[in-house]
Amino acid sequence: QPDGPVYTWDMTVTVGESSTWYQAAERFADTLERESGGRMQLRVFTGEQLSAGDPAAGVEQLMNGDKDFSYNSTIIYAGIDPRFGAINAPFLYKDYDEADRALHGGAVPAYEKLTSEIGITMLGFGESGFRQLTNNMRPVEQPSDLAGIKTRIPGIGMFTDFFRDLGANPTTMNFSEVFTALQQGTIEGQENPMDVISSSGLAEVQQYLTIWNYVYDPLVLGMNQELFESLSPEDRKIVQDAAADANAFQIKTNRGLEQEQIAEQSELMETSELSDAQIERFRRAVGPLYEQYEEVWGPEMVRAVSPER
Amino acid sequence: MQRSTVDRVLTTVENVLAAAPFAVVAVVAFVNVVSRYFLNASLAFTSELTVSLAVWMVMMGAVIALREGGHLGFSALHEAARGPVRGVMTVLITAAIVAFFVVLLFFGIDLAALQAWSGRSTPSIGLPQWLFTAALPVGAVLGVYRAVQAGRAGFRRSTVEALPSEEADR
Amino acid sequence: MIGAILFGSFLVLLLLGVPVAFALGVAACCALVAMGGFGELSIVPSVFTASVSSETLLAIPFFILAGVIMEYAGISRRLVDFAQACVGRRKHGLAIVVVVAAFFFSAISGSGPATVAAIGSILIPALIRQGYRPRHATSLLATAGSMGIIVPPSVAFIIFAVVVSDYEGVSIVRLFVAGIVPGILLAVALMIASLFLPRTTAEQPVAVGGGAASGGASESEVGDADEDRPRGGVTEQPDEPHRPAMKRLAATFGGAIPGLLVPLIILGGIYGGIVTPTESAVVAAAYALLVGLFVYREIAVRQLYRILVTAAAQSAVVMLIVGAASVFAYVVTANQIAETVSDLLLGLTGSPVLIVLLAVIVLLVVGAFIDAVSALYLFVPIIAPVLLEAGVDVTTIGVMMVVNLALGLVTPPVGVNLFVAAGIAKVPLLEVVKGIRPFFFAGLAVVLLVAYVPALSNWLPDLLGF
Ligand code: NA
Ligand code: NA
Repeated sequence: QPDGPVYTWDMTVTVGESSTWYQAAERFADTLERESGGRMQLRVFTGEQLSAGDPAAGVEQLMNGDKDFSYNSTIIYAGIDPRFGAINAPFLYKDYDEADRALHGGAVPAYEKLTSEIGITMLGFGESGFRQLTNNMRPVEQPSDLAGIKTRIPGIGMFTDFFRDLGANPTTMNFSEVFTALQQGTIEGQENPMDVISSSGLAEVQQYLTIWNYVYDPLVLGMNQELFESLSPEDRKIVQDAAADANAFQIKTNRGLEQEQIAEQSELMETSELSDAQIERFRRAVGPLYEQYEEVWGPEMVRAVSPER
Repeated sequence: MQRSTVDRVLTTVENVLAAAPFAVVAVVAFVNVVSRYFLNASLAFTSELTVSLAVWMVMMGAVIALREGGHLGFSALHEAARGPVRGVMTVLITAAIVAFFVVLLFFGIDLAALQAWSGRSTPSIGLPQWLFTAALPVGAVLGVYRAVQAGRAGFRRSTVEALPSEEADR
Repeated sequence: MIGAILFGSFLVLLLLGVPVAFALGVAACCALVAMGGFGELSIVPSVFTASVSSETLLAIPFFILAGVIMEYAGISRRLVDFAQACVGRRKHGLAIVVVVAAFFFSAISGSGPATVAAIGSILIPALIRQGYRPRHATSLLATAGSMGIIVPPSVAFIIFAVVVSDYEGVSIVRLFVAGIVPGILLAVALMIASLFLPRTTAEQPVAVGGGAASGGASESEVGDADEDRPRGGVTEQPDEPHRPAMKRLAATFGGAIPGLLVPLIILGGIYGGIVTPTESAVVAAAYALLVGLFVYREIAVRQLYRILVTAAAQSAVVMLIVGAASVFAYVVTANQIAETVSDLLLGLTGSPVLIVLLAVIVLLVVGAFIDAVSALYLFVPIIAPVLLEAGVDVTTIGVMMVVNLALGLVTPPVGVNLFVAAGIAKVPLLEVVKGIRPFFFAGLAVVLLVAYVPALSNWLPDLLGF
């Protein structure tokens, strides 16, 4: 229906134009424009450009309506409400199948409820993928291998506690300095999704890669709730369908790319793909931490994200 | 110049609210470097504390710089102007400074309230975020006071006289 | 339309005499209201807070703190004493010593005006005594001081790295290393320019400057007691013809050693992988504090309060600009103004040679009116994409912009180095401006060299593998 309200919306993604986040956001924009007959225009900004590069401030802008849409990791949302971190629990899922079953099982509605409590309508999950580890000291295959490694982590309590419990020396640092800091030896390791490891060329300055799928990192495709509720039912449907399409596209692209990237990076770094038994040893080592954080996440969220084994 | 008691108290408040966060930030950052090397244990929470406290340092430092005529600008026309023209310019300059502080005041309170309501806290130590955002409205109120004060003095300190805080143009 | 309101109101406010930070902030607010009413202003605090709470930018207050502590600790004064001993009563080549001294100070501070303040009070009178005209002596010091933001550490490079990361990432360490060769080039250019200065042969007795050199410290209201201030900028060292120059050189060298170690600590720490650039500033501040407390014993513990307040105020002058400029940049981004202007520029000409020239000219004009930090926030989003498109590498862009804006420190009407130099030499500003020409052209030559010869910026960082 070409007649109806006309919208110009802004959306941000945390990373750059070469990312699957951005490609999916652009696809979302195209679908919205097409399906609305040109009434819905979406402008996509990379690198959290609308909040001076700060993703947490970006989520706040989404909450109070300064911004209309964003792709942000649940790790960022956990800074606003720690319950969001439940799905990032260490070694929660061993692979994507498990993660998918949990998401379809109960995680999605639980997260929809959480976001609606802070004024955001969740239009589904994309994903940043599983986070992997690189370092310069030694191959990391069992908990004791992490001992003393100066590892750059996101500045979130759970990550700090995780690496500290395993005997590593976790430190935070702006990502723009990570490459040089690894090269100089200021830090010795870091952890990130495969896409970041690959696109930042970390193999040039890192010797060992550990594929351990230690944290599953989903992306919330969020929309300001007031804005969503102001739309007509037809327009809501357009937005929801376009979002579902963009998310599916993003996840598919990311997973396909990840396999290529693991293959490619294994050529460049000495790579350890941990077996289920090896991962189990890590999981046991951080067991106490998991119990400690169950209180933070709350029983409801813990149940919602738990894998069906 | 005679300074009122209020003025002296405010000066102390401004100085302390700028110096104390700076001291904490510097000590924490230094201890972090030392502990990473000698104790082999980084204080991973340090960056969020230092980064958050920076807002207090910046707002209160900006107020101090206003008090002392330290902000950089193009003052040639204002200095060259005489009589009523200069008076009008002075009022407009003051109004502009006050306007920016008023925006920081009202919308800063808004943001702090949103953060208090949503319970956003710093991701590692879990300090309430609004404690840091509160620097905006607090600084803005003091800033309005200093701007009006400087305006009444006619921004007499020119850029040249205001050398002391001249680190700015780097 | 929004762009016209944004830049138009900024220009009006700036010319009116509103400090740059507030002119940026108010102009951005005007544009926001024009975009969507007063409600749009709600982004101001979130963007402002996010931009000043950046781990990378924390390097700025730390480097400033280090500078203030070095002042109070007596490190700067002893370095000046040493430089003065090097100068001695030399008839020739004094200008060269001045430039070398400025280069060295640039390697311990990230600031232009701080460099001028530290060495100007002793070296400007010395130059005049050697027969240089006051206008030339003062403007040479002012221009040499602009090496402060070219030679690492440099706050300007930190800001550039942060702002340009939206277009292409570059590490601060690489930029720091890239600034070394252009810094040396500027030093050489200034030496060459000074060879052509007219000199009278007669020596003119000139009193050696006193307290005016205490540069960093705010003179009023920060604290209460006078003795809280750092001791006057320069030790009174009347020339004693009979005293052997070598002996004095040796004596002052001993005192200057802790200061001479500062660049090693900062740069060695960063390049050796011990610390990040931000941490290096903290370590330098701690080192200076230890020297001041226990080696020179010139800092009393009660002075720490005044040091912190002074450093906080000086840092805030820069950081307020960062915060306000980020709000300004938000408006530019949200309205895709930079893209429009960039496309316009690229539409004018496809020739990289002309595009680079255009960028140089724009930055010269901008640098005449506003400080380097504001200029980087305003013009990196416009100039960097255009130059990247034209095939210039990001390192060259950074060095070129910083050297270009360093020249802005000495171009009227707003040239902080000029103000500081004129202030401490007690030479009228207009007189100093008249003397700036040879040094301006020397600097311009370096800007053009750096802009057109990428190897000058890239060779050293590539060689060292950054
Ligand atoms: Na420097
Ligand atoms: Na200038």
